[in-house]
Amino acid sequence: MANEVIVMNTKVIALVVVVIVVAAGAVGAAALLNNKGSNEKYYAIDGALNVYGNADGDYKIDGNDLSVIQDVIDGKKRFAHYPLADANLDGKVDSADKDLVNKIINKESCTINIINQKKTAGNYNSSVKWPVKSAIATGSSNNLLLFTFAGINEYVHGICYSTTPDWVLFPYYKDVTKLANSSTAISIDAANDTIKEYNVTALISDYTDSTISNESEYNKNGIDVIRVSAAVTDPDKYASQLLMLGFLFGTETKALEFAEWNTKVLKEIGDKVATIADANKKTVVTSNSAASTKGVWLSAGVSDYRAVMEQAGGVYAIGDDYDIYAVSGYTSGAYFKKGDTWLYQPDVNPDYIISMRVSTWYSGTVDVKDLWEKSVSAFDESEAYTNKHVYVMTGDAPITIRIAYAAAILYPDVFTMDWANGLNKEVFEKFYPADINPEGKSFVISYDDYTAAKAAAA
Amino acid sequence: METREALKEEYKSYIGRKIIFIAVCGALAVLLIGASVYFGGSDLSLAHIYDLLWKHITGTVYEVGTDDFHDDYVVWELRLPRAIFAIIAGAGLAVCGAVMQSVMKNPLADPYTTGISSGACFGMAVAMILGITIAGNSITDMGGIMNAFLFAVLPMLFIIVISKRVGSMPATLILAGVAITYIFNSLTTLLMMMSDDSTMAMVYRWQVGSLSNVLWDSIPLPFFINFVGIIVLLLLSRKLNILALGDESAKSLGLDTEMMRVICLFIISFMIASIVCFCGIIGFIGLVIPHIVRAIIDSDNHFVIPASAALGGIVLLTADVIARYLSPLDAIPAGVIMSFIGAPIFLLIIVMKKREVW
Repeated sequence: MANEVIVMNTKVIALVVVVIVVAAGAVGAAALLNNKGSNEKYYAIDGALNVYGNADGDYKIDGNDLSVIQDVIDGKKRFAHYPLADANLDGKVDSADKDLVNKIINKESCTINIINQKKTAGNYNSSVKWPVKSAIATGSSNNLLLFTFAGINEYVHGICYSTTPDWVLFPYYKDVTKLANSSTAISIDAANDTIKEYNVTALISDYTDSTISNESEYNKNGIDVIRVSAAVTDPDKYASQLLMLGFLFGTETKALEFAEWNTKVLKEIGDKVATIADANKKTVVTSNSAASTKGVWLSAGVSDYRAVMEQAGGVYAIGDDYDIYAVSGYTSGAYFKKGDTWLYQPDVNPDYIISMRVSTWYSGTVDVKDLWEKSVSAFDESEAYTNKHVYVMTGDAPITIRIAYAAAILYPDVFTMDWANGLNKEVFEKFYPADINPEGKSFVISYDDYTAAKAAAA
Repeated sequence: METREALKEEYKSYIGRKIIFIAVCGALAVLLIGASVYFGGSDLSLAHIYDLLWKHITGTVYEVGTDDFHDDYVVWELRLPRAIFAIIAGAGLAVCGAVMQSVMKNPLADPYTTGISSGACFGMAVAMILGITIAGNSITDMGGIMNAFLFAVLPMLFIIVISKRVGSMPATLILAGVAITYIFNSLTTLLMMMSDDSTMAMVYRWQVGSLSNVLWDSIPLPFFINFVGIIVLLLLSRKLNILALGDESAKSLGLDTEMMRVICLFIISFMIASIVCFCGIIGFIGLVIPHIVRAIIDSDNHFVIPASAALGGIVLLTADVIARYLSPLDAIPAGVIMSFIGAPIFLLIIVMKKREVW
């Protein structure tokens, strides 16, 4: 009996020891994963901070970059493999680069070099006076969303826009000086008063080549032009935009937090999309405008709207091998109006037609009937319309939320509308300074929603 | 004897009025440059502007990022070259219109109605969209200008051929010019459809006609070409007066009328190409200004040419100032304002039927 008790006690002790060891191991692993000091959070993103000096190509500039630079200097690493090690862009890696990186780490004002971007011309290098404390910007809705998530709103003192942004979504910008009636050009003369009043040193522009075509003139005027692609759907590329702005304006923490959430959600969507067999993938086309006399514009080729659908798992029905130019004379898309038939041909004939429209979604005052009729009534002879696979959805929401809604439309068995609504609520609760509550509001109009609205209006 | 003296005095007075008109226009042009630098999106006082200009001329350098640095940039790098270019372009277009009307004996001839401006714009579009240039590799250097020149000459040659076949009826020639304008505008639109958004936006700006992108490096080529062109045309003014007598009379006076037309039209094509390259198509100056000048000082090309140059510069600069006043955010192009100014004046001229100036 006594022996049994001893054996039992031994087993218990062994069990307790195992539990303690496992728990300690778990704590140790957690500590390691949190990494690099007790106050530093590890951000699960792959996007890179495209600033020279970020030698190791991760999401920030720190002591690790100094180590890499030293290794390059010592010949242990090759410069060609670490191009960002050349912090001062003088074509070589030496102590001057270490000095500059030290200044950055110590938060000293200096001139840094970044990888700037243009949509057609590609990447190029620009110098920026750092940190940036005051800027003007081109004010597309996507840009304003990016600025908000990067936490830089308070530093932007002038914007240009042609279509008035939704002030419900962007209340801060309602009182910001309007610099131009165009979304792509700001005259230096028109911006001069704002530049002087707020000591502006930077202009944040969309990366389209024709936007801010007077970039060299701004540079001569002492204003650094920083280009962002605010509508990019790839999580790593979007993270890079956030990292850049966060670094330049000193809002790294906020930018990183959103980048991590955004990357996590997009990767979750991507993982679920990957489980859908190719044979079950849905074909889709998208538009983003109301019908004009020429019809509704359907995007083709390289398009941000197409990218949203593809990120949501859709197969774009107007593929790269489709000769859209023969249909419309344009390579970027085609108009479609009632009476046209090209969309219904077997080589297009999408399963779904989704119109992404900017409207008063977040105010909850969308005119469902009117918006539907202006957006998609041209397609009422399509198979998609007959099958009630035509939708109008929000074009105002953050890119990731648009992808979520598109995924919920295309694959309701995999992604539910409640899930998409939950993400919509979550992003504004966690990351948006303005008091916006999407709960209870609708961000997708289905055929049934339209018929109900039509009946109510009758 | 008294009659002779009276005639001499009257003639002196007659010439004096013309010279005074030209001098006044010239002085007004200079004054208008001085006033035009006041207008723009940035609120700067005239005293501060002139203080900046004086300090810039005397070599003051401001620290980057200071208010004076930014103000100096706006005044010296943006407003001043824009005003100077407006004078150059207005002068060139007006002189081209005056000479075209003389050479073609057509009161409706101007760079726009004859399709020359549209041809030049198409040449620019070919350079920008297809990247094809005859010389140089940039749209801001000789490459773009030579392209614009080549396609400006084509409508010119067509007009010359047409005038020989169907006679020089004003309406016929202008209808032919309008047809050519439509052809080149359609070709330009076709190129725009094949281009990406950024290039399309650039070409559209050229079609509308705007001075908003003019900087100091836009000045040298058009200034040189138009200055030389105006001087040469002034030197040919006597022969233009002879040409105005009619082909038969001109030939009997020993003038090679065909060669004279070709030389003048080539010079005009070059002048127009150099202007269109930098600001696009601006209509009505070449059409309206010569008529106004002839109504004031008659049709002696010795005086019509310099007077058109001065008045053309004033009118285009005024149009640009109005555009900047109405839209400090630079939304309205000068070409649009010029159309609003020029069209009613042209209608007035038609109504008043001042054919005696011919």
